[in-house]
Amino acid sequence: MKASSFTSSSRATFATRVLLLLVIVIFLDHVGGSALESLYFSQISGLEYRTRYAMEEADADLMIFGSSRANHHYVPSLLEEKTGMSVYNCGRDDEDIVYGYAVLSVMLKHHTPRYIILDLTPEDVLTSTGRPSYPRSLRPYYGRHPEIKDLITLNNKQETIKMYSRLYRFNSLLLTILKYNVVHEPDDKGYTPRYGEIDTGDLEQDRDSDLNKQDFRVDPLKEQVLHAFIRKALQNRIRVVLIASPIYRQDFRNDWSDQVVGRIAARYRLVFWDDTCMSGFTGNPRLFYDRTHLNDRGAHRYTQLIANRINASFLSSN
Amino acid sequence: MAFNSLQFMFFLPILVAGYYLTPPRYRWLLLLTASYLFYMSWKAEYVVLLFFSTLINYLVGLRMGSIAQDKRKKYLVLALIFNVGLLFGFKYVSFFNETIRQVLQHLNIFYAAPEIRLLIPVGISFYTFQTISYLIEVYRGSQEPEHHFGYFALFVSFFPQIISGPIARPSQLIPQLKSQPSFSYERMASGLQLMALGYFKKLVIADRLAMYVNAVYDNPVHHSGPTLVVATVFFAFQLYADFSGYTDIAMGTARILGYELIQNFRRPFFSRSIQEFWNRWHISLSTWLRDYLYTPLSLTFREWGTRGIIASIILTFTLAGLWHGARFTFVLFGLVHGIGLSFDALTAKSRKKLAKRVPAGVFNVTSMLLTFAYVCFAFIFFRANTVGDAFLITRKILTVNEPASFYIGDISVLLFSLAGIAALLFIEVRREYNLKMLPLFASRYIVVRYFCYAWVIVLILLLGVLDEGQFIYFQF
Repeated sequence: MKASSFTSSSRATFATRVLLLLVIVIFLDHVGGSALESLYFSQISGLEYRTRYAMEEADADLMIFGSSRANHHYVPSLLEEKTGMSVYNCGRDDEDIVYGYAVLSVMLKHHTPRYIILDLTPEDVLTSTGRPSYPRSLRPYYGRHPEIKDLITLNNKQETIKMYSRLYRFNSLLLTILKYNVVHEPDDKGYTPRYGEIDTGDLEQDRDSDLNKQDFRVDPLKEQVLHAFIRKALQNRIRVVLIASPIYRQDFRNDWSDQVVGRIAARYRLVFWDDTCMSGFTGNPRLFYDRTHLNDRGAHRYTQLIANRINASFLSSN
Repeated sequence: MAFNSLQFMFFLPILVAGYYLTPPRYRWLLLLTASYLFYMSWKAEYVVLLFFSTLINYLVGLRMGSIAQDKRKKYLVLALIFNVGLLFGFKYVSFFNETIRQVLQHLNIFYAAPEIRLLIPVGISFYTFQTISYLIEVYRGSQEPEHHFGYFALFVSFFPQIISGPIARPSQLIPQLKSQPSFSYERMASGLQLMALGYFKKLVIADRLAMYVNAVYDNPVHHSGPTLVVATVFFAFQLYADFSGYTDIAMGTARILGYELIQNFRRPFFSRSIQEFWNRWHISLSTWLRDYLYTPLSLTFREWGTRGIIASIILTFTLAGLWHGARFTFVLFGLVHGIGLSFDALTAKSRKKLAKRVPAGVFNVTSMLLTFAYVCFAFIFFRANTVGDAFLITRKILTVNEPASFYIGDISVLLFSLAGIAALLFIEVRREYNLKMLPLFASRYIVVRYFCYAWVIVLILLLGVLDEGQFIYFQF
């Protein structure tokens, strides 16, 4: 490699070319980002579509919030049939209360539901390592809703800088966006069923119980967001029901639900249905897809039960 | 401050600008300050250890250089004890303590020593080896001791390579650090291109592959033999893309500043034997092991003949495995390679004869595939979380159970993983056989070339895993 002499023209050449590269990158980022944004918001089904729909279009009387357990445990069509209310399931896999708060914040700009079921898991209140500080699924909404922007940039100066890239907002979503602009995968108003039964043989070999070995420390930020979620709902006169739905393991330690959620429910005088170790569900392999998720059969049975409770607790008194 | 962090994106341009604006004779001070700041960004307290280690080795080097060679041995021995002791103390004492406890517990003997948990200082495995190399070369007389403390400290702490190598040789790096290189457009461009390639390998290829590998290897009991085979092959490429990506970034960074680091990888998956593999994989470590461990051992055991060579190989690579981490899985990783190298040594002549009888193409391709398979087998131990998992994975791979299901998981992860491997092989094949890279990258029109470079950045933004995950070799 022949070295140029140490001259100002050499540095000027370098600076000019770096500038040229930056201009091209910014141009491609802007054009590519705009194209992806357009495609993202024109998806016709899939996980990302359901998030957008929940935030910007859903107008049901009863909204279900939570993570994968919310998404796979509550059947809207069955709830509608049994309660007479319109229902939409906003639950999303691998998300926690921060995501739920974001969805609610945007949703309230166009619609106020009458009821919210908030299905809580340990991840909603406890410290969990290896998870991002905010839901990545919210990135595409950064430039679209100020509430989302504030949530992402909260305690996240680095993300603020990264968000200047429009392409970054759609990081890891390319295939999904392309697929769901073409493919239509029906869902039951947000609910996605799980089929199959848990393999109890594997459970015996399974040394790693992520529920029992959970580092039982409350995450102050998540707890803060949980309080904010409930307050926001109550301020908008939404009736909130907290639920901890069934899990398979019989030896699950449910201290988190007693100590944390129970305390919050008492503070705001909310109904809290702690069904984590529920007779008829827990330990029944026919109703579970895996240790923490009901299968479709289990979801229907559980939804029926919830519908009965809603009718008895709320609707009969209205 | 990892290479793939946002802080580094700001740190480097500011440093480079300052570097070339600083009068050449003071640049060592700027680089040394930057290197220490870089190191402190991990854990500030350990910079004291780095400084202390640097000072001791500097003084020992000066002392050895000022006396006759036959009187240097005791200083070398003391310094080696110091350096190895540091490494042992921080990295291995809890491992050996726990191992002793478990053995004695098994024998129903009470062991009262408390559990020891020390945070391993970042880069200690690398900079310790680097200083040991310096001391041995000074002892042998092949390296003059460095009198300028600043340059020596910079040699030890040079930020592009302190965390995960390449392990530099004093004769290669110290003269460069003193050379005061001038600004070179070609070097800047070449360095940036190398960095871009490194980031692409790490963020787009390695971290995507990691998603599939982690899902399988963190739960091997739930996965079938075919799934474990695929995950193991994926891991081989993941580790290569991760580590060679890191090295590319390190080399690119150093090149921008005017320095050339040792090449650390040379298309290792084209190797036709385990010996060739170690001539192409982590070259700075394998040559270090050859020069400072294997050669002295084989001289010590020379009277044992072939058995002496085998013993030297096995011992060297078992220790090499242990160098990677204080776990039995790494020891077994090293041992497997030691066995492979021993096989190479014992069968070298017969393989040579076989090569003459079989068509070259057939022999080479078969040798590459068998070597790759063996390397992947060794990587099972490298990646598995426990020894039990490693043996379980091996057993599942080798036994055929009907029906064997295949784990797909998120299809996009699988597709991206395959695409990543294809991209990596595309680059590697072109380099191995000296083929031209993509014509567009060599276009005579500057805008076309720069559009290509920009596309690499676009792909990183769109497909890269940008949550600042660690490089694998950071943990060593």
